[in-house]
Amino acid sequence: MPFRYLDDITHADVAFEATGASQEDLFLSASDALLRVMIEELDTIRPIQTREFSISSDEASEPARSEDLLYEYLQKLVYLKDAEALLFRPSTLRFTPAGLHVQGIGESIDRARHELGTDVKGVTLHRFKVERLEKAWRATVVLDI
Amino acid sequence: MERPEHDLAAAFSSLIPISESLWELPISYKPGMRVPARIYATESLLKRMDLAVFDQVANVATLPGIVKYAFCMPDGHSGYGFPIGGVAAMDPRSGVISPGGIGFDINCGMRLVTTNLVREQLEPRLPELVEALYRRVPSGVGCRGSLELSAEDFIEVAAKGARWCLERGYATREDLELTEDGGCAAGADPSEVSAEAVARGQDQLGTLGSGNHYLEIQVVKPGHVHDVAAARAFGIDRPDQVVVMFHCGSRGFGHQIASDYLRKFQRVMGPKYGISVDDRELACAPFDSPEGQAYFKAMKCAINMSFANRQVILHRIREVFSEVFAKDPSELGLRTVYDVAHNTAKLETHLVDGKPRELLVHRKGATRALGPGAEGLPGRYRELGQPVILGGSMETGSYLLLGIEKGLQTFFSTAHGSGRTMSRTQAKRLFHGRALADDMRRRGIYVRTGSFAGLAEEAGGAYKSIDEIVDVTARAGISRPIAKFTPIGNIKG
Repeated sequence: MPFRYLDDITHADVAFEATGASQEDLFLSASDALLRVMIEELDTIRPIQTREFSISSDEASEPARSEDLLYEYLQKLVYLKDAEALLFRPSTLRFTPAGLHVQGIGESIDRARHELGTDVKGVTLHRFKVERLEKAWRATVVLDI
Repeated sequence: MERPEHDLAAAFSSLIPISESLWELPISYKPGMRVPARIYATESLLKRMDLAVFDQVANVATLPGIVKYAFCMPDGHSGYGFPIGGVAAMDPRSGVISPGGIGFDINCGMRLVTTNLVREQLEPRLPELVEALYRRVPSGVGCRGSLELSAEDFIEVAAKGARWCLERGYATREDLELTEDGGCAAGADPSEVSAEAVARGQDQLGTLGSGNHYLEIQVVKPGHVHDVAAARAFGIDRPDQVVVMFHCGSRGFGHQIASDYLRKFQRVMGPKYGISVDDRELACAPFDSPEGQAYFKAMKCAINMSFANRQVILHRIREVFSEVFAKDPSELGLRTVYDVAHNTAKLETHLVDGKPRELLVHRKGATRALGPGAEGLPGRYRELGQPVILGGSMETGSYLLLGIEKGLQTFFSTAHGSGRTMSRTQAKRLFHGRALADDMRRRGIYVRTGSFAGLAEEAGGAYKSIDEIVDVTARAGISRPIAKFTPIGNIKG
């Protein structure tokens, strides 16, 4: 799941670029990039809970639709962290006519076991971008810290 | 939109020096600018600002209803929509309100608290004190407060702010008097807030958060008081006096409100109101519109939650000091000096071209700094002016400043901190969290964190010099220094 953090976009917060061979892979790379800011080792999130949710978009055209879905998808992870203290890691994504269906595993934050990084307060729209390249997908995201 | 690197020279060549500490970007800098942009900085600070600052402050100058200038304070750096350090006053009838001009962490702010202890009394107990504070003031990723609130209770907090704390025994009347707006923004309406925002905030009252939020034990070193009489009026009256300073905001609650309305404004801004902006994060709505008013009322709920958050934290600090020193908090002189907000928009009346005018003043990463005699100051400070609490990096120090009459030039606004000079990933490459903590302890700063990675990101070397920022605000006449504080204990989320 490739992603890399970018130095030249923000001083106060965290920016990343995620890529994937498919749109599903891109979204999974992006959610890993977000989670990795908050927790040092993603594999320490155990599958204690399973969860699924759907998100929808009214946007009909690309890239607006993909951007809308990626934004809401990442915001949902931040929401679950705050509202339920849940570290949720998506594992299976399915794009539908209405939007996106997400399944994944998660675990409540456990300070004894999870080596924590910096809290993500939200996803910004600053330079937010999803691109479909010739053979891959790419996104640029800035997280508010 | 940011300009390419080669336009750095163009930005600099467009800047007109107004004084040694003030620069102006004329309206010819960018199409659509309605007023010039003014940046407070020395030439040296200006050169270290990121290029996006110039474009972002110029974008602010294009917003409908902006009055006089778009400002950037000397600790300015690039933000989303507005730069951090951005200040803009809008005409409430013809102008807009923009979540990007307030910031995601609505009413992120600072509180300064005195004690009557001096360094040598506290130092033997410092590790015990910092560890106890770390346990009682939750910090870090996903931290939850010790108060178990129902959604209904939390909605009451959003409506009442720190007054809720007074009713529940977490505040004194004096705490409220010494909090900006008395700790409660009038007109907050929780019915304009989403259920998601409430769910995110509900368990976060009394929590510090993460990133650049912190709780510090500091001392006033001999020679670090710039105005002895004013310092005394604020309760700073002895060498090596211990004070407590903390920085935090409205946590996930404020963030969700800002995100919700940013999206709402994007949908109506163009189609309904015919406004176009150069940056999605500058999305706005006319202040005098149903959407603008709804956001104003929801934002005030986050202002209130944040005042209450800092008040509950103070209550915990009082409990911890009381336990560690086996004395009543009042015997330990744990008194609020002041509580200031950084990320807000407020209706204020200021003189514009000699005439009083009501304005909607956006301050993002900037502090209100009212001068002597101003309405809205607590009676005991009215003759002096408003205390301004400026947080520096965890290694260098922080300041108490005072608002002054000449501050009218910025609608009585000044800096809010020292401002970063490098990214978080750069800082993590340069500094190692554990080594930094050890080094700080050797230098007399006992630091406690739940995240060494987070600590490395906040290293002093990642920030501008706070002394330099304070100096610019004084030279420019927007605030003046009263005292400097040096950290000896730090809790970092």
